[in-house]
Amino acid sequence: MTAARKLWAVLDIMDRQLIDRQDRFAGTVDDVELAVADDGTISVTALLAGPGVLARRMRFHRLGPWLERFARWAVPAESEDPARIPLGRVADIGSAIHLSLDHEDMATMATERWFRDNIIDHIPGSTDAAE
Amino acid sequence: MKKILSITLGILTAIGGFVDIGDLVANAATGARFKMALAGVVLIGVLGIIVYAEMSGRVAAITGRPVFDLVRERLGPNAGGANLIASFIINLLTLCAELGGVALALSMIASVNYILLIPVAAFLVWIVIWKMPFERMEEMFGLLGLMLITFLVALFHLHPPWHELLHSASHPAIPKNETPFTFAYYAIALFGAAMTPYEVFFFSSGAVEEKWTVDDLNLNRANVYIGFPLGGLLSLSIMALTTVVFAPRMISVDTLPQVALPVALSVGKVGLGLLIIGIFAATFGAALETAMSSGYCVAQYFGWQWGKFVKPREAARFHVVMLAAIVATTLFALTGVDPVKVTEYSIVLSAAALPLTYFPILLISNDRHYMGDHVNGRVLNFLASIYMVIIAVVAVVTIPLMIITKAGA
Amino acid sequence: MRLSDLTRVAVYDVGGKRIGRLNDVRLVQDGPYVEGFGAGLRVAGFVAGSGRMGERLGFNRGGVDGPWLLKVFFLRLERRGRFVPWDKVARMENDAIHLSVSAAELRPFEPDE
Repeated sequence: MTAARKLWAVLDIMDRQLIDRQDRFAGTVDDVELAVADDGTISVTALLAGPGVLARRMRFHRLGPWLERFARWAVPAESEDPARIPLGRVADIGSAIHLSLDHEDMATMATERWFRDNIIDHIPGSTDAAE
Repeated sequence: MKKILSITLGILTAIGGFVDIGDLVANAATGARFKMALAGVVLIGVLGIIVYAEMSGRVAAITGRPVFDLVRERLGPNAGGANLIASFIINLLTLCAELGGVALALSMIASVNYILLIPVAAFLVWIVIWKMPFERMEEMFGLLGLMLITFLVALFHLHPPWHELLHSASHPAIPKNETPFTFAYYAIALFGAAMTPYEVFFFSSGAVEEKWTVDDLNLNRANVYIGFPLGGLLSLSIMALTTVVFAPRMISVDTLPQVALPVALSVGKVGLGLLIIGIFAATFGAALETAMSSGYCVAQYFGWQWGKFVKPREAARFHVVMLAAIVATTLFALTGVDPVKVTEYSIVLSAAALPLTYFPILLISNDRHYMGDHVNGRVLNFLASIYMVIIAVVAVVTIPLMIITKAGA
Repeated sequence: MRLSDLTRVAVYDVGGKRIGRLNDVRLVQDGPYVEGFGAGLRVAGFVAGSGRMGERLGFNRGGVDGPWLLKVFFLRLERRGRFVPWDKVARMENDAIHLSVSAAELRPFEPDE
């Protein structure tokens, strides 16, 4: 049996680039969700990504939760909290973290959608392939 | 030809760093004031940017992670955020100056007040970013920028006293009418121009745009080893030209047409025409480099989709940041601020922000978890450590020097 | 609970002596199976140190292996930190973690742990 993989939560996971299942950039890991089991062990249950999560981590106590609510409102995903990436949707942890999610369903896309729909799409040529 | 095209990323990056609008004039001004006494600083700067740009390109090729991604990852959101704010301001200041520079270059052809041409320059920059594929963009402006070699041709054509130039470079002396402080200030301005952070933002992001992989490490080296020395060579030839033409007459240089004057004297109208094309391409390239760097920095810090390798609508925030940067800097440029002074300030500010950009590059390029067997070798690490010390010293003394010398006045 | 609720929290030994702040959390992938990911990531312990940024650069805990000068400097800084296995945590409060052992029983983190 091979030894279990060992990681540092801050060094190896926090602030890494997230990449969705279609190889699109999907934000960075802004925080990590931990949960205590009945037997007292603590495990990682989800990665968190979104402007609200980052703001809360940087100790903006009002702005953070407000932005988190905004993302829940702005991103109509099936999941309750678009800032939450359950561990089961994490495909690989390396120099970037690959997800088996679509970035459209993530909180990190809330403002992207707005700028895309309200500004970029109104400029001619926004859907032209780059090459 | 294919080989030349494959190193245009390095050429464009270097031209945007070494001979953009502020540096064209700064190089000329140092030649007129200090002769070749500061040539050594340019060489030190060239080696420094070679060392760090090679690392950033190698990391990007192997991991796909560009510089500002590394900054966020290794420094965290707070220190990384401080660097983001500083770098973004530097990008904007430089972009503002370059828009002025492009307009100045255009006004040397069309006799219109350059202020009127600033919106034209800004629109051209934006349309290239919006429409033109990355490779076409770097090829076009990298190659046109090579017209600046006219400076070198003009220098040779003047049959300068080479031994005197060499002696001035190898025995740096502070002229009687200058203080050690102004000497040091110009030294930092030249060093800062060589190592401006937007060069590594642009270069490493460009490596990702071009989809470099571990097989492209030689391409990375070729870009770095040819592009940056070329930038340094252009910078030195301007300095030598003004040493020969202006220094003996005690004329100081502070405008773009003055920089072009020795070329016109030496190789005439055709040379001047080629030079103006070169100046246009170099300032335009620098405008592209800084406008896109402002998008790269912000997008990579937050992990947003970025790059010209996707359609604009798939990287909406990235394009909005660049568009906003162009609009804001255009308005600032229209107030008539002197483009040359603006870049000088931005170079000095960037000297103060250098460590926060170069330190994460040095860390990651030594990290086996990222780089596997492609971590830095000993000699490279030795050089990089020396430069880290220089960068740290420069960062500390820059702002006091700017105050003492009233920005080199 | 979020990771950021733990990082930078003050850590006290059994005698109430402050031994530093929580710098990073050690995860071992041997937890309960998670569909789509594999074995879960279990918190095995943490490093407590001065809490300065110099300690998250990756010299001791990560794979950073040079340059020599920086390594000497930052390794010393990182190795001032102490590794605390999670079973030595007695109780956690909002802004403090209390241990069930004394500081003298703790050692710096060894890279192969």
